[in-house]
Amino acid sequence: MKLSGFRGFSQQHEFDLDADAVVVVGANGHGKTSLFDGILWALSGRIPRLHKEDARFVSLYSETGQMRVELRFKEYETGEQFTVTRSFDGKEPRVSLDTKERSYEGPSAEGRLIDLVWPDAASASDSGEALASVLTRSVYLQQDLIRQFIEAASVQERFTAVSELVGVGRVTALQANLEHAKKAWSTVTNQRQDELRPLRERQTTIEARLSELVARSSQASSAITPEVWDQWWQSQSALGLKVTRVDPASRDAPAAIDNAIKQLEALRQSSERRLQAAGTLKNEIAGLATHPIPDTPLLREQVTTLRKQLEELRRVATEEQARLADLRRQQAELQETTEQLKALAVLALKHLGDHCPVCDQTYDKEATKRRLETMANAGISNAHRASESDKLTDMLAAAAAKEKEVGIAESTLRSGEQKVMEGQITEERISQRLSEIGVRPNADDSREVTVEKVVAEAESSIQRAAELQRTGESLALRLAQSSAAAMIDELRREAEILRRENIDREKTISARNRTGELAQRVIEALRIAGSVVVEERLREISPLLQNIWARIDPHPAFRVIKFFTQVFRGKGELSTVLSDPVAEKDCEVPASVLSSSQLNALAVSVFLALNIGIPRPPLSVAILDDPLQSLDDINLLGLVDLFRQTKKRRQLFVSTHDGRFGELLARKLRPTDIDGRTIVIELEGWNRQGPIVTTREVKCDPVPLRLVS
Amino acid sequence: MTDSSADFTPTDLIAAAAQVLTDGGYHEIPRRFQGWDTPSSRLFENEYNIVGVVVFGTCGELLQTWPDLQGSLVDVISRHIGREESKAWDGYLVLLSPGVAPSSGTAIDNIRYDTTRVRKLVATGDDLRNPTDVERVVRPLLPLSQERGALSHESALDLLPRLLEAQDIPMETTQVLVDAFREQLPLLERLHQMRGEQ
Repeated sequence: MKLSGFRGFSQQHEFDLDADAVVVVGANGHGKTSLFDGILWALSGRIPRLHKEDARFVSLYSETGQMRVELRFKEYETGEQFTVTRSFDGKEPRVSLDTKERSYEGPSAEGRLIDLVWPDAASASDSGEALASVLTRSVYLQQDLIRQFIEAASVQERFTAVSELVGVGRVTALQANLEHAKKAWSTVTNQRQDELRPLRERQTTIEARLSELVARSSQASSAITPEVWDQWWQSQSALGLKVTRVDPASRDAPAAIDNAIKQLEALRQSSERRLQAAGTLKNEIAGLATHPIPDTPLLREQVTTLRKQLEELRRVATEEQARLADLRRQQAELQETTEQLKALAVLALKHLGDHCPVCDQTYDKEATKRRLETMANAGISNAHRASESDKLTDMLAAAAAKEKEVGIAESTLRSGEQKVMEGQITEERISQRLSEIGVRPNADDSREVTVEKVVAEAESSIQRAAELQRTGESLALRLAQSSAAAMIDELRREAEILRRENIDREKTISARNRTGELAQRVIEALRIAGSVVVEERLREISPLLQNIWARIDPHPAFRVIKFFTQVFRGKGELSTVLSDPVAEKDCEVPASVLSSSQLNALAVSVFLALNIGIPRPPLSVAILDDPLQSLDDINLLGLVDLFRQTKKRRQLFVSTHDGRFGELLARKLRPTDIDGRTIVIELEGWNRQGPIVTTREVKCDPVPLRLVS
Repeated sequence: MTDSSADFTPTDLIAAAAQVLTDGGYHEIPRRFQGWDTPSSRLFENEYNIVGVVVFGTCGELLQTWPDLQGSLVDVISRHIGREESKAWDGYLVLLSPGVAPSSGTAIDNIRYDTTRVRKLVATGDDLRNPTDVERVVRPLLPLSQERGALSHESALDLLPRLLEAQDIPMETTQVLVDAFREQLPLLERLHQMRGEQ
């Protein structure tokens, strides 16, 4: 082992630990515990009794601020070696593992290390912690915790700790795996159950549909004969339809019939349109015959004559109107002159004097006055003008009457022209419709006769198409009924397949449920089995514990010891029971009857019993850190004799603070042949660089047997 | 002091001690040594220890003569082994008597707790109910037997088929699960296959 910067070893120290027994001697504080802690830390990466933070293990006097432990192991049986190196640079822990085959770093190194030393820990949630737990229970008896197992730990904690030691961790892992697998199994089984539900519904639906079809199939009509089938298709061909005849058993038969019926329907509609068109034609032709075309040239001539007469009348009237207008103008001028003279006469009468106001001459006043009065009372006669006006009125009335006559003639002309035009349009339409229905009247037949033939043909076609349609629909129905029979067969097959599949699925689900139930029973049994394994294992170890306890024999009465286990409320409990076989007394609390020294002896006994009793411990090593404190001489001798026997079964590391006892250990643990090796490591004079380390090898006895020889 | 009332004789005890020690790898020394020459004493040796076994008819005889016998044993050892040799520290004196110890037993305990010269292993009729109890007395001198108290090499998983059978789980079922677990195979699938369901 190489240590540097680790706890009490500030500088690098290398230790030769390749021996059957290693005795470490050093005063308290000289690094004995640090040396053994180095082994624990290198393997598990932790020292549970101290702190969890690696930084706390770095020596305060480390020149680099880092710590490093390198441990080289040799497989006892195969001789193969591996080296684990763990370090901490102040921030990050590192671990590496070198085997003959390859090197590992980090988590892979941790994993491989677990594989090599304690595969059972691989199933633990924290394999390093599990390994540390096993190491401190069965490999490394720590000075500070020497009696913790029998004193402080509860019966349940003891049971749990021992469970790990005896390999129940694997049973627990199996149980956990099985529980997980069972859960997943149940989930899948439930999914299968869910999947089955719609399949059952589908089966029910198909069977219901099948029942319905079977009930209907009893009403099925007769099958289609080939003759009827062929005749129907030939009839359509005869009608000029482009149909494809198929076999009635063909899957395409319904579609073919459907297609043919559609064509028949189209033909019938076409014929009906033709019939309708022919009927219209017929009416229009008849209409032409009942409505003769008027003589429009004659009418037009009459209109021309009337219009001329009207123009003449209008001219005469216009001239008369002009003359009358001139007359009215002359009368107006005369009237104006008359009015002016009348006004002058009135004015003159008003101002009539003896002399003329103009020439101041005398005049005949009376004559003038009469004359003026005559003038003042003068008027114009309108009788002539009225007669002239009546004459004009008559002339205008004659013109209006003529104009009305012209209007009537023109209206008659327009009506005639309209009729002519309509007649022409009707003719064109008739020609067009005849053309549309493909009729070209021959010379022998009139249009009426031709149209009559078209009507007859259309009616015949409609009737024929309707008959074929009815026949076709009948055929289609019989085909559908045949198809229904086929569908019944198909549904029967499908229902049968589905029924079998569902039965298989139900069987599968049922089988899965049975497997799940069995797994659940195994899980329950495993819960109990874990405790039973511990009980059984401890029962196996108990004689060894008794064997070891008897070698130390620290108590004159309580000479029998055994493990007592029980499962209480599902939790295992472990006690160490002392018995006085003579007085037949038992004690489950050793601390109540043993002295401190005797308790130490008991703790060492339990530790060694677990260490030796486990067939495959993480290390074939027993490490005891200063276990001899407070022991009286007789117990100490007994313990040393026990160590000597232990050395034959385990590589033994023992430390002591007592130099004299160190010497005793060295002598007692001496090798007995040249293949054996015992090393004494003395840690002296600790300073800031660490302890002064002296290593010496204990020589073997060259002639072990003296008296025998 | 009480005389022996046990059903066995000193000869039974010496024979039992000889048997246990030779079974434990000791060699019986047939030679007679000066001062160590009584019919009820024997001398044994292995690579570590020299063990003198003496059987007394009564506890009184034991209490009276054990110091002389210890001296004789130390003489024998010192004549054959150098003072500085490690083996010189490995003398053991086994003192046996079928007689019952005095009522207090203090005298016997004093011998046991007297660690000067050689370690003494003492037993009287209180502890020796029959000759086989001698094995317990000399047990500190015997190797830790391989077969006694060690766990079987079966892993806990190997024990499961038998343990679960007691709970009506067929052994085959458990074995299949254990094998699948070890081989990291799907547990339930293997169980299902075993049941012939697939």
